[in-house]
Amino acid sequence: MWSRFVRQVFLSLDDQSVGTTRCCSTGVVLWVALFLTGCQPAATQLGPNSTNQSSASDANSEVAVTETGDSAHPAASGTVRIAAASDLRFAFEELAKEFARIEPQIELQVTFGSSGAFFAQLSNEAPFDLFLSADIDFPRKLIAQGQGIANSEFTYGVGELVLWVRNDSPLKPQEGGMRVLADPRAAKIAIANPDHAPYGRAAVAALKSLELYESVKDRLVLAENVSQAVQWVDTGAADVGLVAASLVTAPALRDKGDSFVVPADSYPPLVQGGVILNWAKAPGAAERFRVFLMSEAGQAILNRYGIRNQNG
Amino acid sequence: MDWTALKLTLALAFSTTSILLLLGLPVAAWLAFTRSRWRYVVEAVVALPLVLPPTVLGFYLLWGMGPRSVVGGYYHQFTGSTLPFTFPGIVIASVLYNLPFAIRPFTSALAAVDRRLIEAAWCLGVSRFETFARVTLPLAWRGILTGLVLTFAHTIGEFGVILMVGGNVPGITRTLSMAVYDDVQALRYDAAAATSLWMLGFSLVTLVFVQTLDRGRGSR
Repeated sequence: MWSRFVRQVFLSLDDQSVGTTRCCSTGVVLWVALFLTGCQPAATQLGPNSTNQSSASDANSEVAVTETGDSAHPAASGTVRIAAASDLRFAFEELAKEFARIEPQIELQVTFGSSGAFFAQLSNEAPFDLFLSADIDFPRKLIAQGQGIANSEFTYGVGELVLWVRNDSPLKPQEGGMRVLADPRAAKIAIANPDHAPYGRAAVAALKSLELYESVKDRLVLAENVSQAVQWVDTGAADVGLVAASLVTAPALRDKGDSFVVPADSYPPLVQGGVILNWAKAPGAAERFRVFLMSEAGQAILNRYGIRNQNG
Repeated sequence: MDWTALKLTLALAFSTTSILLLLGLPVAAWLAFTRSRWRYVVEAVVALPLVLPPTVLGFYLLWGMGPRSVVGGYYHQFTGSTLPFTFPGIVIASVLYNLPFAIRPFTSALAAVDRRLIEAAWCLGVSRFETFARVTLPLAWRGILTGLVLTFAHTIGEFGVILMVGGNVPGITRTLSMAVYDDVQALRYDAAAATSLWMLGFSLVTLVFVQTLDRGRGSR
């Protein structure tokens, strides 16, 4: 799409410079313009053939983790394509590093986004092998739809919702707790979109059960996924966020803000689950990664990033 | 059909188009008639949004409009609010994003006006401004209208920049294209289909209109 895009633009630039001979150049310019307008909806394209996942959503980003090493275990190899909830963004770096040490012949290719958005894509057979959701319901639904391998669902941890502000914020969550949301200086409150992001859903549930929702609902801004909500607070665009502990306790952000843990009984637990998809190209390798996630080493990393073990 | 989103989208499109008419015409007139070598630089800057991904523009806007930036800081001082996630914020974003869609058709329309007519007016003692208003503009109206229609239509379909700086607030920044996106992500295919159909119809009508304008000019 991009090469066509750029070519069209340059064609138009060309035409513009020669086209000083009256009106004909506008025609071409218009066509280019129309072309571009036409390209916009493609950004949300779904379907089995959408190989370019980073274009599937402007807010998704792609990290390819490549490791070359001698193959100690030739049993499982290949590339595991992972659709991961965006609260895993930072934890994943460490998980990938550790996994590459144990299974050097397996390559991980991960795309981050909101779990609901991935669920919509996977319902249309998006090309992933493994889905790591922030909500176990999505993997279960995929299995129910006949798209996830039966019994391959697993629970890898429980996420935690925190209220987060920047260090230079006048709001002091460590003193005021959830009450800082009532402060008028919390003019914009960032949460993930509750329509399709589990952390957004949890945030709304917590606000409702703490009877804060009515007073804050006009100040909520909805991010595409939970890491965009964090980014909005981080850049100062929003004043406070209800976001994933796993993101704001990561080394990249730990020292940049203050957080307050939202009472766990105010929202349904964020049980994080995964599933291997029916159309996985490397189901064996995906299984190895699943085993690693559930192993002591994997769980220890997740735990360090605020994704608690289910029983601990 | 999400009527709040439709109303908001139309408001955004009208604001963007009016601002670009006021802002774009002087720039286009300068581009069409100047011999300055800076012309090419200005043209390139105007064309930038055609090539720049909306995410890049959105990223700069988020930084540039945030309360800790110079512009955002002043805005905050005077209005007490910040620009991202507000209607003025997405208007600024969409004005920048639509620069080429307005200014390029304007420029080629103005440049296509017969130079002799303009010079004749000058020779008859009509001031430059009046010549522009009473000779050049009336002769270039088709191209100008084309630019306005394109800007309007393109704003209706804007997505990437709004996703970056909008905040998806119903009635304030949730435009039709955002509503479609949300509906698809949340598997509300019926709602997405209804909105999409409306937008498809609108876009087609707009294009037919633009083509008619263009054809009319060719046979003048």
